[in-house]
Formats: sequence, C-alpha cells, structure tokens
Amino acid sequence: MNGEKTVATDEDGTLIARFLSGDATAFDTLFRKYQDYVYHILYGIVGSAEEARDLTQDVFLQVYRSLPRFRHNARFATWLYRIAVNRGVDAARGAKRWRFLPLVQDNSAKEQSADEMTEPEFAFEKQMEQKFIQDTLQRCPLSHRDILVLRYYRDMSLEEIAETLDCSLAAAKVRLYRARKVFKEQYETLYGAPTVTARTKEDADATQAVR
Amino acid sequence: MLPKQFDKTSAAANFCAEAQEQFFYRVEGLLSLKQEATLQAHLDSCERCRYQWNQYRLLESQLCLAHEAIPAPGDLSAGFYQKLAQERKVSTPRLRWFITLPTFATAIVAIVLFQTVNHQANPITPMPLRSEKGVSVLSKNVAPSFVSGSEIANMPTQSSASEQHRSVSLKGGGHRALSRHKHAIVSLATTVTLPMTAKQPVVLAMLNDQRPPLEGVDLEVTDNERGFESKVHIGGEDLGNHGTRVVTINDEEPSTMPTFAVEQSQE
Repeated sequence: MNGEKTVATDEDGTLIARFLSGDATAFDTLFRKYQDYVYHILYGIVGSAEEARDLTQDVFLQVYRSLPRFRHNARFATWLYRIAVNRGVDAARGAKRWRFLPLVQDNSAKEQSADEMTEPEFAFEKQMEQKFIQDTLQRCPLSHRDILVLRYYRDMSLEEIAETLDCSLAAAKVRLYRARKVFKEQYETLYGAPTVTARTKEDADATQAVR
Repeated sequence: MLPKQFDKTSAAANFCAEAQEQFFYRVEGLLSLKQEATLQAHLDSCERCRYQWNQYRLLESQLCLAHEAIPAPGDLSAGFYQKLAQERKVSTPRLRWFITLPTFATAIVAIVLFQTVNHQANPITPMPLRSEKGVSVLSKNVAPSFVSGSEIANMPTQSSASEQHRSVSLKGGGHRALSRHKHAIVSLATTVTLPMTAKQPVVLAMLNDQRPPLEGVDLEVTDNERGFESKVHIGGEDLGNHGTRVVTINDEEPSTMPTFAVEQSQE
C-alpha cells in the first residue's frame, strides 16, 4: 500500500458528479477505492485497528454529508485525507492516553511470504521491528505523528504533504525534519539503537545504492 | 530549515553535529551535489558519523516498512452503510411547535373542508312521499350521512291534509358511535313522542352512520302537533303502535357490522 499512491483523477470527479446527481453506487465506488487509504492514515494516528475501522467509517460519513460542498480546486484524495487526519487527531487527542499496540497482529503474519515462513526468527524480528516503530509513533506528539504517517504510511512527497496539511513546502520540510528527529529520539529512548536485520539491511543497502 | 554548508574551518565536533543534521536532507534528496560530496567525505573519514548514518538509514527503512504491520481493515462498507442508516434515522428533523402547530391546524381544516364537501356532495334529498295513516314517510333510500336533530328539524316539509310533518328514513346503526357507546341499548318505542333532547341526535347518528348501511332498519320521525314522533321499522315490519320495541345494538365485534336484536316488551 505504501507505494501504491491513490491518485485522485478525473475518475473521482466523475464519481462525485454521479453521486451528486443521485447515483448512490458512485459513492460506494469512492468508498471502496479509498477505504484502505483512509484506514492506514487513521491507524497510524490512533494505533488501534478497531478504532481505525470505526473512524474510517466516520470519515466517510462526514464525506458523504460534505461532498455537496466539495470544491474541485483541491484533489479529492487531499480533501479526504485532511478530513481523515483531523478526525484521527481529534480522536487521539480525546483519548488522552498513549496507546500501546498489541503485538503485531494476525493479518501481517498471514501475509508473510513463503520465505518468511521458513525463517521464523526472521519473521519474528520483522514483527518486533514493526511493533517498535508503531509504538514509537504512538508516543510522538500528534503534531509530529500526522506528518510521519503521511510520509511513511502513505509515502507522500513533501509537496503532497504541504498540500494536504495546507502549509508551505518549506514549512512541510521543517515539520518533517523535526518529527523525524523526535521519532528517532523516542525510539532510542525506548529501544536503543535500531538493530540490523536482514530485511532492513537489504532495504538500507538498496536505499544507499539509489543514493 | 535549509541544509547548512560545511564550514571547513569548524572544529571536528561541529562537523559531526552538522553532518548528522544533513541526514534528513540527504534521505529526502534535498542536498546539492556539493553538499552531498562534502557529507560523504566526512562519513568516509568519521567512524562515529558513519555509524550514526547507518542507524539513521536503518530506522528510515523500518519506518518505511512499518505500514506492512497494519492489520487489513476488511470490508468496511457494511458498517458504513449501517451507520449511515442510523444517522439518517436520528437526523430526521424533530418537528418543533411552530412547524407542528400550523401543520396540525391545516390538517384539521382540511378534514373539516373534506367533510363539508362530502356532505354537500351527498345531500339528504327529500324522497317521494307516500302517505300512510296520515303520516308522510320517506322511502328507505336516504343518503347514509350524519343526520343531526337540527337537520331533521330543517328538512323540507310537506303539507298533508291535517299536519305539517318532517320525516326521514334512516338505515342501520352507527358503528363509530357504537365504538363510544358499546352495548348501547337504544330504546325506541315504535310509536312514541321523542322530545328533541340531546340524546336524540346521537341516536339518529348511531342509526345512520353505519358502513355499510344495514338493510331493513328504518327510523321514521314525524313532526306533528305533539312534537316529533318516531317509528322504527325493522325487516320491513311496521311495528305499529302496540308495545315497545327495544332495539339492542350489539357491538361486541366492532370490526364487523353491528347486529340488531328486537325484543318485545309490554307496556
């Protein structure tokens, strides 16, 4: 999902127009197209699958109500994300507590590749890494959490982040820089220096090669 | 915050701090070629910063992979549409008094108008008279509408040889009225003088408001010198002036047509 950016296209505009003219199936199409998109954002912010599911439905309820007021000078996805992040931040702020993710859940284990299944230790390491990341994310202030989710859960570019958060590109850079720094500090406070696993090493090497 | 250029005159410690600040910009691809080269040169020569850079890359990689741990949401549409239906139900606008009051008043006016129009469309028309022992009697074919005492009093009159009279023939018993007067016993003497008391219109209404009208129950009201006289004809039998007939209207089963029973009582 991270690399599969859902780009709002003219198709969205067509679907919105159909919905506004009374075609209920058009909204259903929009819902199915973007539900994972919204869910991942909310999960990153609230850190609970159940709550993220619930909030995703709430976000689409709000979209359903507000769609007649949607202005096409913004991308639908951007507008949708803005609603989602605001809803998620409100929910997380209302909870007034840190959320602790359970051990990486069920579905991720099911989605393991055949190679991972034959290397249980590797899979376990991977799960622990992801748990540490998610827990650390939940300990970051909301003002940093939202931009980290945008960047790392939705793989948004700085330009997209700036558009979504309605700020300048320079402001987006500064916010992401600070958020990343805070995240690293939190992580090291909790878990020490990140350990090298085969997976992260491969990925880091690949990153280095690209650089 | 823009990337800083390395100052070659800075102390080594400053080099390290500044170099580590560049990690973010390097990952985001925001360094110029010159900045990139300077940073790489420092990393090649500084083991501590190289270690930090590797740590930064590792954490970056783990962050980029973290989304894979998110449990799949499944299909959320069913829950969404359930919530939507609930919301629509709840958000049905509550009627406030300034909305309900005019609506209620309008409904009442509409009902009254409907009744009026309906009544005018089905007037009680005087039917051909037949003479019977000096009393004019209307036929049975009277429009089955509500007839009040005052309406009876205002009915067109016909002159006969000896008296002015008004008469009406009614059918059936009042189902709606009966719902308010269950097991009502309507005592109508076959030939009695009925003073126009408050009960009289009720009785008439009860007899007239039957849907469908009962066959064979007729009430004859005659206006003569002695006042209003009433006669009940049941099953085509003129009960005459002998005895008293008590008409019992049985409404134990309101959904069905009331039945009439006739009892004979001696005066």
